[in-house]
Amino acid sequence: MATGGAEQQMLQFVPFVSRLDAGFWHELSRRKLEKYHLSEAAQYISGYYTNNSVPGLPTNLLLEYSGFEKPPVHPPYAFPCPGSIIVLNTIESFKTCDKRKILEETGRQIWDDINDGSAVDDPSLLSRFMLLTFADLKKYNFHYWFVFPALFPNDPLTTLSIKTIGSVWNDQQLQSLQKAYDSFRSAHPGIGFFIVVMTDDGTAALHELREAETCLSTEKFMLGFCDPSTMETNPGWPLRNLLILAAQKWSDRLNVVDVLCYRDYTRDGRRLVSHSLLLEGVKLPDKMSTDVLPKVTGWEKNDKNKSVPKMVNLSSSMDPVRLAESSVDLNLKLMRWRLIPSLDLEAVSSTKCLLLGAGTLGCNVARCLMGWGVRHITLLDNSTVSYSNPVRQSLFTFHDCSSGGKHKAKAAVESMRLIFPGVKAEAVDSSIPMPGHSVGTNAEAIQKARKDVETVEKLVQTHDVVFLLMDTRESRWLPTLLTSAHSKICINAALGFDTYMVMRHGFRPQPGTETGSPGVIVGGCGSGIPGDQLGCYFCSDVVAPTDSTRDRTLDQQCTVSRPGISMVAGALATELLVSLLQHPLKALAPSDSHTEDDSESESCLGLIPHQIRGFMSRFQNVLPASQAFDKCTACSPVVLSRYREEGFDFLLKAFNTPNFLEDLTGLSQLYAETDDDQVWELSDGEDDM
Amino acid sequence: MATGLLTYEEFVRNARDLVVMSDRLGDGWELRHVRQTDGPEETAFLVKRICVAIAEESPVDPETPRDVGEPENIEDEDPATLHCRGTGKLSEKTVQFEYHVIYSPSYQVPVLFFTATFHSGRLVPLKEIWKFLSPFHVTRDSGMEWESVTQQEHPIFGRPFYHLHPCHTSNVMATILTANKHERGDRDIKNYLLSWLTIFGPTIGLNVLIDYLKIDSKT
Repeated sequence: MATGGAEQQMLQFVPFVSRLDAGFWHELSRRKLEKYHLSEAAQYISGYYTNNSVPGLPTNLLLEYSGFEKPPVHPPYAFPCPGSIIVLNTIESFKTCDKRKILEETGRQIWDDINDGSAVDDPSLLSRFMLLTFADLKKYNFHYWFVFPALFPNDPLTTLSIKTIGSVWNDQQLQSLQKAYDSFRSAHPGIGFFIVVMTDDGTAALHELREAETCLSTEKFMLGFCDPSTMETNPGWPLRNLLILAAQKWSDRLNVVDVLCYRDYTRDGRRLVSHSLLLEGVKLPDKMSTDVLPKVTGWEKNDKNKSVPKMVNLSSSMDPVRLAESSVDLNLKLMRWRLIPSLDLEAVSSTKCLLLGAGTLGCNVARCLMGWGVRHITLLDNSTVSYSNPVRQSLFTFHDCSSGGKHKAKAAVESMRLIFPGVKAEAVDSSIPMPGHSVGTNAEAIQKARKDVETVEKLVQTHDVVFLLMDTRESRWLPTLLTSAHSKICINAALGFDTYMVMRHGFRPQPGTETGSPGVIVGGCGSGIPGDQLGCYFCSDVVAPTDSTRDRTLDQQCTVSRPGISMVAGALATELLVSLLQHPLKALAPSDSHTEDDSESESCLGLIPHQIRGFMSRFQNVLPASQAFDKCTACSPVVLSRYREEGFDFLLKAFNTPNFLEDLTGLSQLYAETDDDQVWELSDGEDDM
Repeated sequence: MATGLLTYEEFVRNARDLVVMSDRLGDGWELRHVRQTDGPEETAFLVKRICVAIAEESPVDPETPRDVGEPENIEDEDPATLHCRGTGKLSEKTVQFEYHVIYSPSYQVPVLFFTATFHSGRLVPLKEIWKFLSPFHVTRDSGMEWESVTQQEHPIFGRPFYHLHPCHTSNVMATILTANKHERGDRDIKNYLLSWLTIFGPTIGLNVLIDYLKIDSKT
């Protein structure tokens, strides 16, 4: 036994650093909601520390989800610490509760356990701790503060020297210690305090603390503990209360003792214990009166060494809304990792989409866009959900129809948020003025038309892509003109009974913009037309839009189509956009109708047609392409320039004056030169889709 | 096993052997059992934790842990407490990786789930995890086909974990098992789980000690 001398140095101990795992907070939240409710009573919990950290790591005391269980489930190499947790109900009580009292109460438990001998039988009681929390489960904010109580002796604890055992003991002694520890560990798993007896022949034996009385008489009596500290000059926190225990229990026969700070880690398959510390000649404090609680320290300090509680926000791992968002994105990324490394998901998800019409097509396109991770989706519609809608219009339910029916756009957006709260969906309840549906000359009516036009104009300007998903042909005229005038991508889908048409409109760059597209049409058969030379929905028509609902039966006013058609067309419209966004030229991508699989496409998702026309009766698609028409009533240069010059006044003439658009574009003249029969033949196949 | 698939019974047997070897090597694997609420059967899975120091200049987690309120004068100054926080004596920034090996009945292969947390229990975002792992992780952009990490609810605990998608596991394992047969005749590989870990673990910072191959779990 080393002798105490004048050169005693003061011992300083490395405090615990709390470490929590995410599961701990999940389990705490669950227990708060299901078990504790409003109880602020201390609840059982167990943490642990280890002595196998590599040098340089902090002295962690860990709490995990399984620490709430009785008995706790800890890793095999862990040393459990009993603890208690208090979950307070308000931030005020968290701030104002008596911290001194909490510290002293927890310290007193340790003090009592030492004096009545419980801690000799179960030394883990020496590492008792307390966790004070306030959980704001709405915002996923967790306030917390740990107490790792350590009792102060009257005089500072000192030692004669601090050395690594590798520098004091030979290999035989180290191996003997390792062996003795292993057999102690298998007999007393999880016990981190013990007595070491090292005989003169270099054989070590480990004993439980309760065997101290019989071991004290032996020559080479040492106190030992599994040391979570990784510092070469300082033992870890658990030693403090062990030394107090030794003083209270054995000071009549022991006043100076050697202490083994046992550390044991394996790196690259090699086990090391030689970095354990040997504290030679630790001077035990005097025995203190059991009636008086010694001073206690132990509130966890922050990294500036201040006593301050902590708060952590866990919304990224606990808020279901945020979880859904990251999950959706990561799942889409799987596509990239597994199949298409060059897929640009950001180009898709960052695209702002405006859906005109929230009927069967609008619902299906919205859902499909969400599937692609698109966040910004605006729906415009002016009608309400009726009883016949929900079975076909996939965002609505029966409840949306009651008491007159909800506004379609609003109901659709509510439903989208229910499906995916991360979506940034907006609803606009507005109508779209149409040519042939006269506005009239009434000032109020004109004002309303002006307001509707402004609404649509603004929406087109603030989105990247406009989907035309309405049920009439003429309602597509204004948005076709606007997307052309504002150079937006326009995707158009229209349905017949068992036919459908999905197309991307030709892209009209702003006047004076160099597109860089070849300007030459390659080949025939409508293949290879540059994106800015492709036609729009109205380019193939030689009649201006008029009121297609007039003189129709009820059947014709509704969309009567095979129910699957809208799902197919809605999906194709979305996929056409996504393919287009993957092309380096985006909207300027030339049309491609090659049907052979081996033809090279510049979009990683394959070819990008101009139009997809489908015939359900034959389960067949064709991919025609057509050029822009210089007399088009919606996108021809003359229409666009008149709109740019006159704005609403021009549009009003188009709404109110029959044949205005035909006269303007020269279509009237074309009629005069053409046989009427032929005209009707041309317009038939497409109008009613 | 030449199909690259594994039954649950084989998984548990492999896992037990692995833990026996791990205990001898001090490698930290443990086998845990959880009784799920909807079933009478206990589910066994492997757990391992690794705490790693991250470089001081690594991006910190700005949200955590945050001090709240003013420092409080609630206890007496204690000369025996070593103030090592903020002194650079010990790593201030550490991340704990938690690995779970769980059997997937639908893919019939083991699946590697993992998560990484800061001191406060906040999850390290996947982007940051890649940065911490980059030293081990030379193949980051090489498009290795099994490098498909996605977020998934933990099949036992229901909280978010990252996992390596198991869709290629059986193919890769079948290739290895076949190659092994060619080279070593009838001798099966020692432990499917161990071989699997050596292939898939390092991608996410879980290296397997070569010593596993030197010791025999049966003795």
